[in-house]
Amino acid sequence: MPYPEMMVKAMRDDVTRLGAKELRSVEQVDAELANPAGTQLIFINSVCGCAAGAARPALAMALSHSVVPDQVLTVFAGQDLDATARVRSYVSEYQPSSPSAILLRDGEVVHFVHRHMIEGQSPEAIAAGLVAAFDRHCSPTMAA
Amino acid sequence: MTMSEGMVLHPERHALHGITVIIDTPGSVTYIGRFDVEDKRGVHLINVAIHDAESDGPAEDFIAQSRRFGVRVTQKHLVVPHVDIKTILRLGAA
Repeated sequence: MPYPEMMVKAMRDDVTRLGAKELRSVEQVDAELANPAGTQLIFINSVCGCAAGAARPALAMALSHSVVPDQVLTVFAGQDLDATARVRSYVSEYQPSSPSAILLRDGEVVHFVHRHMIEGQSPEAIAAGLVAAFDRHCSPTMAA
Repeated sequence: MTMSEGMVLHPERHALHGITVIIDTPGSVTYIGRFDVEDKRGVHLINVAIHDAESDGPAEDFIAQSRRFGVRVTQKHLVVPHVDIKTILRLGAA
């Protein structure tokens, strides 16, 4: 059951103020993922303080890197249920995980940060993993 | 810091609370799930995947698949008795 919106607003804002486009409906998800081009990072937000409390600052750190995905998207697991399920339908080979971060290139998963890779890690360590993935998959030479 | 951070919001809980772990047993069964609490009944896991090497193949493959593709949850809550716990390792550990 979703938490009251007032409880999660700050958690949404943590991500959207980084420039991430929040997807709250199936239609919004399809509009971004049905015909993908370039690199897209999908951050699956979560209320869980154990993991998401580190993942959001990590995302902020990673997105300050010089190489970033073309587009950053977010859905909120446990809150926007249909939108989250729709995102997961695009990466159905992977088990549901929140928080998590999925890096796509032309619609294909090239890097998946599961919750178990976030738990107990510092924001700096999580960010370092994301930055390495950005450098590997999102650099201009990759798109050429 | 303005972010709604909180590395651990449950400081009174076990150090592994909220961490996805691999529990190896003396037998052929391996569990992967999120450590919740430990009490006299054993370790409580939530969102658990269960593997039996006798019927499902090598546990190493199960662990590798779980690391790469995530935990395929088949049981919401499970208590693993202490007597059935050989080792507890973090799934996210290298």
